[in-house]
Amino acid sequence: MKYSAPRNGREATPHWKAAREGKLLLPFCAPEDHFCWPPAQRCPTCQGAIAWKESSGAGAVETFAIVRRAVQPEWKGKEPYVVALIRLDDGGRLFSNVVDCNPEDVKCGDRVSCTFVETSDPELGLPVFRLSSK
Amino acid sequence: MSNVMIAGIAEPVHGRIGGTTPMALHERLALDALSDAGLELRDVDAILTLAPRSDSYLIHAAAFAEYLGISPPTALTLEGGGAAPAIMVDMARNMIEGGSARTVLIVSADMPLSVNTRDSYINTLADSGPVHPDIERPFGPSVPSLFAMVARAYIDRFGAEERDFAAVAMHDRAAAITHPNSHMRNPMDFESYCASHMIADPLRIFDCSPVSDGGAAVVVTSADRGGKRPVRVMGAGFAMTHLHLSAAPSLTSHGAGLALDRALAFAKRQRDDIDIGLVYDCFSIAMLINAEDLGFAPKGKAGAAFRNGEFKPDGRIPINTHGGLLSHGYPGRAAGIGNLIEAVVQLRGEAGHRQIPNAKMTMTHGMGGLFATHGVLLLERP
Repeated sequence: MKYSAPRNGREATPHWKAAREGKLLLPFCAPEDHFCWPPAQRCPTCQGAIAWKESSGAGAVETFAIVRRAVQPEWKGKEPYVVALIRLDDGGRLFSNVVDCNPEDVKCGDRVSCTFVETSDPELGLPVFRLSSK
Repeated sequence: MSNVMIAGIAEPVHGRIGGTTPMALHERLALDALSDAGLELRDVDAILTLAPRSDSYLIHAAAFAEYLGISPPTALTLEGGGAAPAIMVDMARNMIEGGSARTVLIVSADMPLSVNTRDSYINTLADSGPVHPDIERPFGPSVPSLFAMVARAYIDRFGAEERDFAAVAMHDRAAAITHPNSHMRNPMDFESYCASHMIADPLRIFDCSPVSDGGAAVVVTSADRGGKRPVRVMGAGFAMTHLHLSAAPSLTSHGAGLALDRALAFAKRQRDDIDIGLVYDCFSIAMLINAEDLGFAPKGKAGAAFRNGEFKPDGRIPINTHGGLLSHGYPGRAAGIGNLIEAVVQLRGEAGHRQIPNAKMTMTHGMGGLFATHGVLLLERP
């Protein structure tokens, strides 16, 4: 399955382009290091300029759900699968999938690492996460 | 004290409303609510509507005025999610007090079940509902799965159990069973709750609102035109913290309480003055968190309070005496207006066997997005 692409030419395009190259690039404000997601032209907390930083991609599952009834056409037939909020160790929090796992095995707090998938836009990739071996 | 009244209301039976169109449903509700208020179409000088998902126009309220054959100076369609009923009534109060309108007709109705199909409606929600198109949608979330993520965080934080979620669903169902306008009227017990299938773990189908045709109309006017059974608009309060789940500052506590504090400050009332709470509960988890944020139970304890019957009609503080969104119905864009109608019916003393004796002040709460925007409306028996 190819992931449907986010809209190119938006504030998060550097993140998606980096994901296509296998890097997790995240926006923080330069002065205070606030994570700015979804990214804007300025930090919504302190109005500082945005700086992009590469993340190690290591983190933990903050919360998740197991989708039993998909709605987007490209996801139909892929159930059950896991949607999750991931807290990254070096700052940041992403909505993503926990992939390559038995959904029933996932728990809040589980350690994860980042991997990348292609999308329907050849320029853009997306980060998804795998459970780290326990 | 506000001199602005809700003078008329109308509500259809929720569920599948066949043999009509969204505009015809709007018209029927408008005429019934005006008749209830003792007013006529020509008295209306402002129309406020929401854009039904089942019927799309550039300016829905103007298309509706055109359909009715009237030319009110103001015809406005607004976007407010589930907080819209409080926003629209408060906007009407401001217009009337400010002198730009004398009688405001509010109609909020949608037919997602008959005009769309249930599945296409749910798909629409995932594409243009509270799902972020870029940073969430590619990963395949359904709307129930977003609320399920909140439910999982709530379980993780407070140790909530299946029976806590079931207690909310069963509470609403018990109230809806005998309500003549409710969508879901089959009895539900813990066994049938547990037998209902998972939509997005940990949420079962009985944790989710049904998709309903329905809505309501409300006529807001000044006391001198208020008809025979007016209910006083005491004031409203609002709060927003984010729109999308990805940007929520917390997963287990949100803005409902702040909206209530602002409404109470405006109306010069106390939390203890609330006789009935009408809480926005599109999912069982929304009820648990909102009821706590509104102060009806300590954090993490709403499920126990539901199980103990504290929110039943004869309990400590009655909540959702009409069955809430979970069982009274979820009429698409119009979701939440049922909470407002129940408040008016109770304050008029017309709730029949559901009537809460001596109900003087109601609190109607509405919510947009993933616990994102909150509107609280306080109404009083004059």
